[in-house]
Amino acid sequence: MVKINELTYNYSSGVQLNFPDFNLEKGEQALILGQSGCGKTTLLHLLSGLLKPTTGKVVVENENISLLSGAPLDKFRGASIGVVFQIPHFIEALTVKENLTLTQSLAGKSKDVERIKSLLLDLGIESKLNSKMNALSVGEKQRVSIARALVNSPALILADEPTSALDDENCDAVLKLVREQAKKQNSTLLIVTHDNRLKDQFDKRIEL
Amino acid sequence: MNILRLSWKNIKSKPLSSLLSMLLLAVGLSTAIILKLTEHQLTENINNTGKDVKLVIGAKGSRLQLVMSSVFQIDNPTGNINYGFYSLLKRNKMIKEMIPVSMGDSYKRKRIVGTNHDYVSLFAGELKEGVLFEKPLEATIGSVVAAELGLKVGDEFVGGHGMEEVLHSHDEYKYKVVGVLKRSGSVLDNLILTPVQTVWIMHAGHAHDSEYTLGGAEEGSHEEHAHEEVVEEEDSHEHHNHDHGHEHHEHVEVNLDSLLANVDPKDREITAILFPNLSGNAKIGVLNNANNQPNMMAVDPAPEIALLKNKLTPFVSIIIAISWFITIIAMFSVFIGLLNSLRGRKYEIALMRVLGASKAKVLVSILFEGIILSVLGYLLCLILSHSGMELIGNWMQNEYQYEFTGWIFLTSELTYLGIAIAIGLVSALIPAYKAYHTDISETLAK
Repeated sequence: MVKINELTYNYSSGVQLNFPDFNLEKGEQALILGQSGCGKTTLLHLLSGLLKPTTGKVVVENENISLLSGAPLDKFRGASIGVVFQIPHFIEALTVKENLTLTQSLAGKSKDVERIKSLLLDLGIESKLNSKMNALSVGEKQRVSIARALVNSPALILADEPTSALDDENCDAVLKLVREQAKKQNSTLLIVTHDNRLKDQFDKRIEL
Repeated sequence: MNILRLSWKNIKSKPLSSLLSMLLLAVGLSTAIILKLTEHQLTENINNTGKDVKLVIGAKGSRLQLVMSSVFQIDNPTGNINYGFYSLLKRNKMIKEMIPVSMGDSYKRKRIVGTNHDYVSLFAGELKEGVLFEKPLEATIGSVVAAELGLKVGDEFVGGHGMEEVLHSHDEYKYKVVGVLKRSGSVLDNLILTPVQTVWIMHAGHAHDSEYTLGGAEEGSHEEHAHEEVVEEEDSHEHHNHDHGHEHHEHVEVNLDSLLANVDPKDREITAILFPNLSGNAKIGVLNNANNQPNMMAVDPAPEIALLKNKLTPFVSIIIAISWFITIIAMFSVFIGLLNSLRGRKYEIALMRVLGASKAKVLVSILFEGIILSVLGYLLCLILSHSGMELIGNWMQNEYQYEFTGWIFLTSELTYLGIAIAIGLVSALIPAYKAYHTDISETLAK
């Protein structure tokens, strides 16, 4: 399902990063661990096609995304990969519902408000459907960003330090939600983190 | 949630900056449109009013002033000429039509014009109710006069001497409204029409201290004939009165007729004579004849109007330049507004790309923002320019007795929609290009 092979990336400064090969099955949940500066975010950008690898290949759902570019790559990413960022960012001019319908339409899917409502219900923020983004707390925002990563039922969900900005209580809740939801729709989940609170909860761990 | 709606939401989320851009654009374009509306109506008015007058004879003075006062009813008259000259020309078989006009009095700032029925036909005036004036002191009024002063058939009013401010009122005689004209879009709408004899009666006894005697009484060789003619005309007028005069106002009419008969021919004055349909030799003949009179001149209105238009050109150019200046500032305002708003939204642009938006889609969304702003600016400009024109029109009507309205729409206004969209596009170009080239990975990694 997700496979990286002899993947390297050269920064413009000349520094080269080498990534260990790994392979994830469909529905598998894994952790990528590493200290700051070891290339966690770079790997995540390589996996989502935001960066082009110098050598090696990234295969997501039998698609070698290293070979894709331009609009087809954007389209593939929108439809097959959901991303949860460390700091949740949204289109501030839109409400929760509008941010999620925009996510549906940018991925080329039709607007499905029922899907959005049931997701928000699962995440415990159903009352925030029509809220402005700036009216939400950090924890609520992170839940909306999980909803955004899940709304198109992507094959792969990538999470970049999803819990590092949260307190213990929210950390547990958010982690639990994202794992449950990924499992529910059988998406592969890959969490990139240096947050040791997560370490023991995953069987599959990849150290950078 | 499509891209167009997203652009709209982004504009709405920055109401002040968006409003400023729209307002600047609207003010710039409004200035240009108001100018266009004014020019259009002025030209139409000038054409409607001036096109059928081929020659004007009046007292010596400014040629333009004579045309403005006696054809367009704007300026003050240059003075008066003796009615005798009119009577003399009446004998000329080559002249088919001539219309006397006599100004100087007004009622509540509406000009009273002594004339004949041809004046009404000259501007294709039609009666809405009542009849055209026949006897002295009868008045047929224009549609605007009727509406603004609330006058109707049967009403009476007291006129006064003077056009802008009434110097003294002629309260010994009352005008009686006998007819109201339909709206014609010409000078008729703002005038009170009455026979020229009314003016003589009003000014009997006052004539010599009136300011219009300055260019008045003629001492030419045609005087003798002229007097005879006047007397003949009075006779026919008297007969006419006898036919109708027994029903009412008999007492007044007898007085009026005797009064009229007592008006010294020297005091029988008119302000100007208008000649419709005069051309060729007849025109040259009349022109020479009038110009040979010591206190008279004949003026062809067409070149005077052309001269006036030329005089206005620099002012029009200045206003056009100002409107462009404001419009260009508006363009910068849209540009800076978009650039500022995008600076804060760099992460959002990257986010859209992660969510599947192509570079082109991001580019289009920013261009849409520019276009939406400019189309809204244009709509605002339509409201501003037309209500502004209506306001200016009301002011001009009070000031110049000339009617301008904001409630007409020209097809050329649509070209300003094109200009507005072009401005929106051009000012969004650089911001859109920047968004197009956003480095997503770098932006997200920050």
